[in-house]
Amino acid sequence: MSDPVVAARGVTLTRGDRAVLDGLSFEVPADARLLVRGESGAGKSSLFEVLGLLATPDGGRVEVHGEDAARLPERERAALRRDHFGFVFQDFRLIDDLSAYENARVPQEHAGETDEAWLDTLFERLGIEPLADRRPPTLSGGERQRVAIARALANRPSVILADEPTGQLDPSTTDDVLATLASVHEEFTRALVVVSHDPRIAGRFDDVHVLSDGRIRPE
Amino acid sequence: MTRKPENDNAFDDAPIAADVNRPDRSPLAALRRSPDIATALAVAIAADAFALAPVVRDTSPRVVFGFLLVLWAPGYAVIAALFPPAAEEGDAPLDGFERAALSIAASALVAGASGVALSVLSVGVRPAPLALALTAVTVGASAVALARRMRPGTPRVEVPTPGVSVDDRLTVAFVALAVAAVAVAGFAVASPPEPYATLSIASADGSALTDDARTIAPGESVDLAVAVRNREREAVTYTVVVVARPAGAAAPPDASAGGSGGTADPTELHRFSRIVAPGETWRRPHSASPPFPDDRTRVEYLLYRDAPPDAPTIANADESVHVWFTATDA
Repeated sequence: MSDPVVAARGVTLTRGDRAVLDGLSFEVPADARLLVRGESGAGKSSLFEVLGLLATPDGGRVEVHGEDAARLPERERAALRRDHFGFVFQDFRLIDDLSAYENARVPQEHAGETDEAWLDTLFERLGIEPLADRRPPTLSGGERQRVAIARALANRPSVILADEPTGQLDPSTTDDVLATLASVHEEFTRALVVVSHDPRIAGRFDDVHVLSDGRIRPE
Repeated sequence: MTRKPENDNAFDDAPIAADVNRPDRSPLAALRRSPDIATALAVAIAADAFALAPVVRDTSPRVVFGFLLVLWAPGYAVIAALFPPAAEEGDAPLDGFERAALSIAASALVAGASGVALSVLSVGVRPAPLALALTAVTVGASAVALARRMRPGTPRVEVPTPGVSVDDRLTVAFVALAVAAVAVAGFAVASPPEPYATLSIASADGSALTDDARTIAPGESVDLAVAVRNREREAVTYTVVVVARPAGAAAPPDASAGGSGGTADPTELHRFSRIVAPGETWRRPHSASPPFPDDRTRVEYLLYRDAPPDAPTIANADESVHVWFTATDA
């Protein structure tokens, strides 16, 4: 197993009076393809936010390539997110007013480097080349999620974090999106972490972990 | 069912009469023998050219061809497809006046339906898409009309109404088309109008922020981008005012007229302004560093057409979006 690209060590997070993450430790190797599953309210989205430096834990470390990033200033965390993470959300979070291609280009523009050849490659490999000029409201759920995957890969991240990426999709489209994520993992060798409540998708992953009572364990 | 022709309308009878001794039944030959259909197609194509071509699209013929495309060409082609000309002299289905009246009514109906379809499909009722939609209808109906003229035996649209005259049936058809056109227009008017501009914000990773919440330490800044899309038919000067409103001064998120209560003063973080062309999306990356007199601050993006008021709020903005920031320990 390769060195972890992201690791949570003894992470605690409290929301209200409830300890959502309770001394949780978890490593994401560079070649991981893993699923974190848990019941609704188990803290999956909180784990997603903490691992992705979107939220600051109350305690513990969140390491990115071995460096603790949990309490860095927001600007530095944003730079780490931009350069090392690709995010895929249940609700896609595409900007309706931009075309599919423009949506995928936003992270590159924030990074100050536009690599259209790479975006072209992504759109071709993800099968969304014909959709490049269309805006999200005119796309199906599966198409929107593939555009979101292209956006997640725009800055060649080390790890892709996906929070319930198939939560709004029908079973057929769910298979399609999971196959796309699997091919992205194999072709571009990015660590892939999917957080989901759906146990039916477990067969698509090399490792499955279960989150409950604020802690995580292998299934 | 025979009916004496009421005039010498060449569109009704001449093409079929000329067809009797002509072996050439190709579509091109049929088009040559149907100058009326050719004219409708030419009008549609010219209207498209004047709606789309950069050099000529702002010239006065655009109005003329646009008028003909909306009120004549597609309807004429549809009526020509529904009522092919007579196979034998004396059997003309429509006289010139009836054909013209039905063409106008049918065109109005097609234009209304096309507008509704473009609106439903989120394309927007703009000149270019509408012209292309009407041209598509004109071309399709013309193809059917030509095909039916090449096969003179093809039955026309007939309604089995024994004892009812042709004039009565045409009157009923005209009234039905008019009612349908009014219904379509009513639907279009009753439908919510398309917003003239839309506003969105995204984080540095490109994900859209919608009523989102982020945690940052006081004094920190966060990279964001605001996007404004102009959905009007003309260039517009938009201004985006970015206001940080502490939680004490912000109404609940579901109160659209928020931002008027509390004691803490809002702080204007940025003000961006630009002329945006029709259909263009203006993106403006920036950094926001909200102050934290309270634990939470709502950063509001307020969009204004032309000049903003002295005290910009969600209530007086034309469009708005916001993101919450929660303070953490530095």
